[in-house]
Amino acid sequence: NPYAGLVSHLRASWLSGKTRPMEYRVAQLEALGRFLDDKKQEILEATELDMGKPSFEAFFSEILLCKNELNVTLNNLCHWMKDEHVDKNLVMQLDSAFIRKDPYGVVLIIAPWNYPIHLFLVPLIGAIAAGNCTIIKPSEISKNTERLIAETLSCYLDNDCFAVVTGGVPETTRLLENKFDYIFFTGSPPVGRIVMTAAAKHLTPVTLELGGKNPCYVSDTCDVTNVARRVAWGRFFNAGQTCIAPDYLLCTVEMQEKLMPALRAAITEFFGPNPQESPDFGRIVSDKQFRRLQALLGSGRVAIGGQTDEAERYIAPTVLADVLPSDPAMQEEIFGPILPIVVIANMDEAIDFINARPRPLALYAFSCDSKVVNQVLERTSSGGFCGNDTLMHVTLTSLPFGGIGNSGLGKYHGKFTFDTFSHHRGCLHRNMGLETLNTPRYPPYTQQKLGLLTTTFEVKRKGTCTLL
Amino acid sequence: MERTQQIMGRARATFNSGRSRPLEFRIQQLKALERMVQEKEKEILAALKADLNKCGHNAYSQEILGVLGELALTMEQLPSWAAPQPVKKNLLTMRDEAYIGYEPLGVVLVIGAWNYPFVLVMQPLIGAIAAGNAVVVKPSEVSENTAQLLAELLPQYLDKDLYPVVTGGVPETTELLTQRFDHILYTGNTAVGRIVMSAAAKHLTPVTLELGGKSPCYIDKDCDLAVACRRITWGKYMNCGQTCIAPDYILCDPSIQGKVVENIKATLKEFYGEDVKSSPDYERIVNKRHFRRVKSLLEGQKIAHGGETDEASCFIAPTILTDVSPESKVMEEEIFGPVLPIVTVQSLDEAIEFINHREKPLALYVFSNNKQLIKRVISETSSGGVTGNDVIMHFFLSTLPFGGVGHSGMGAYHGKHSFETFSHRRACLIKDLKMESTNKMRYPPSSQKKV
Repeated sequence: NPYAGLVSHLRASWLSGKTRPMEYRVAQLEALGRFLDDKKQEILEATELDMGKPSFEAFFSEILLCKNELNVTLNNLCHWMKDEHVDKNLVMQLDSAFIRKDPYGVVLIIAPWNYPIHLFLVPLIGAIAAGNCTIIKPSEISKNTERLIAETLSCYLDNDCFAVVTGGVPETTRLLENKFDYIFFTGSPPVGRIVMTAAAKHLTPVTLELGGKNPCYVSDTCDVTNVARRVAWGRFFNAGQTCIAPDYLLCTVEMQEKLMPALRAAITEFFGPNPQESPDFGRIVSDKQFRRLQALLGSGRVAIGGQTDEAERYIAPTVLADVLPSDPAMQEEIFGPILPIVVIANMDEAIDFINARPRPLALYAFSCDSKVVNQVLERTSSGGFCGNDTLMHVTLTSLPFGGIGNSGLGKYHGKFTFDTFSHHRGCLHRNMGLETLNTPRYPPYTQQKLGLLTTTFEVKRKGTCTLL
Repeated sequence: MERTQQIMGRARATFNSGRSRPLEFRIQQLKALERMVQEKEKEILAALKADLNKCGHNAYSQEILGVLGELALTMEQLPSWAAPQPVKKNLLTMRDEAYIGYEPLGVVLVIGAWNYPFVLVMQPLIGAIAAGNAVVVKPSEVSENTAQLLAELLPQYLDKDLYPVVTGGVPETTELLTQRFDHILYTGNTAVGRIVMSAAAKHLTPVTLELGGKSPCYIDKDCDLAVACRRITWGKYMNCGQTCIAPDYILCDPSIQGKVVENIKATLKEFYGEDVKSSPDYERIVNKRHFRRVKSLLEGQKIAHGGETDEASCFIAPTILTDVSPESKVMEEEIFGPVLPIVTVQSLDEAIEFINHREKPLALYVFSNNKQLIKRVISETSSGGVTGNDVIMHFFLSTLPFGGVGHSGMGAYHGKHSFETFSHRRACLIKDLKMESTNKMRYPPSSQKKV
């Protein structure tokens, strides 16, 4: 077991208790902040090399959003760490009852390649804030960022408590043989199953941030220009390599007609007449992903874009019209700059279409009629939902970010990350005196004792529920 | 197995139809459960007596009272629990609607245990119904009378399509676990917990595992031993020691070991009289297999009190072992029986180290007049839950999450925590299709100004 030494080193540090004091956690979090500040340029360069990430996007997702999470955590850590006192029943009025937030111990964070800093760093913020030691396993596919993390993170964090492990599938498999106290995984559902199966051997709790096909319903009553802009932005950000990107559009044939020029206009507005020359449009991360995406271009008909350049791993912002549910583009999560439009007759059909498929990580609905937006929300299920925009729900740190069913289990962002990496321990600290109050619970049992017990323990309904 | 597929299919189709979602429906089902508990109290107590020789008082106070309380609390609070929770917005989302919506997960599975066979099915069921799910109930086959009763009663009171009961042993449970559920709550042992989680992993099903372990009980020199020992005796020997949060073993200074034994002995006489076997308030071991398992733990041990056994009636007397070696068999596995080992430690530091060198327990107990000492023990150890200066009681406060950590489990429930366990918290952001100008800063082409 090649990682046994590393894990036991971290476990020894954990047992020493050094990660528990608030001052220590704050110091490590502040060091992470300095990492983001000092290495900003290197991060922009590495992500550019890895997937042609435009520096505007890289700054927004890899630096700005991360610093937001850091600041929310630093601003609130003291409050989050406090024991949460709970309401007591009659019998416990003189006792102290609270929920203690205990760290788990040694945790593992496995990050993917598409937002390679953000997707290890934001979970790490919570892991540190909650008092754990952490092993970070960045993705080997975004190899420049991987190298940056492996070489520089150790200069900022306590190496006895935080370590970076690099490698591919074989290394990750060996790493997962070890016992961790929590595993946080972001990636695809098939690998999510593998991670959870490995975790089950040690009864390790997990958070799995997975993916799926995020539907985007556009009703007939909407401001077509604004819809086109918001959808195009969400779809083509990071060249479509975003777990919460709108994966496919559902609309009527009339709306498809109206949307097409609006989408074309939005794409031109964003990327100019030749997106390949725009500094604001990314590239596909690898040859394998490029070829996979290229194969999807045969679905439906190419209405916008469709151009590719293998040397640059460039795929133009593309919209496919009249795509059929049986087409290749509708069989897997696209994860690229291709937007298929599937035509449906009406909202009910759109909802049935969505509900016949695995529950997605995100779901989008556009309409000027708020009743339509609410109908779609109420009659479907998804990790998260955004009405009349894309992506934005995950930038609000007070909203939990996570999936359901195939798109994942668990959630994070803001306080939810801290809670994810904490064991919520129910604690009751009783009075040693007043022993006579306990008498009804002791044998030998009598009817009188039972009556007393019932009176003191019982929860009575206050009144009839107004709903009945 | 065709039957399982049919049951699953019906539950899922009915869930998909939306029947279980309206709050009125959920409360109506909970009300029906309440009627069931009240109307069939005699039958429930009879089943518990047949399964565990549990006397009426114990069965009522341990299993029925708690369930009625949970039902009353849930029906009362459900509208507030289920209401969308608005969240703090930032500058960009100031004009939008942002909230967390509570939604059912779908079809969930509740697997019960045999030691408190009624409450360990009912409490999760209450939370699962309250959250709007369809629920497949799998009571433990070891407590067969209660399992049979639940199979008869639940369909009489609840919606038959949404809340089916599946009975059977290991083969039936294994078959059930191949099906796709949206959450599984399992109460039982660590080994089977692993099996449940592995099966769940195939479908990416989230799990709540209420497992077990050896719950330590540290008695400080500075404490009222008479009171401490009375409380410990109550928690240890209730249900003949077959309680997941029973104090499993005692850690104390050698100088008080003798007094601890004396006090427990005195309390046992007070509780069960001179002849424990004839006390109507003392239970039996659930079956021969567990009887033999617990009995074998006595081999080679110094028995300070008790030790009598009778296989025919699965009787094991309340037993205390002294000067127990940490390496002995009785200190390896969860005892789950009326045998209380005392392991002596020279200091609090040693006690804490002893506890931390073992798997994280479901419960941890510490008795002391010194508040700081209790705080230190809590801060320097980890466990599912804690009660200081008593045992068991944290289980009865539904505002506290009840669950394990490490080998003692994952997830929690009781009260609102049950509702949350069986709900999906869906992040919702509803924006205006107008106000596009504020979005311009995020769109390409980028410029330094926008950043």
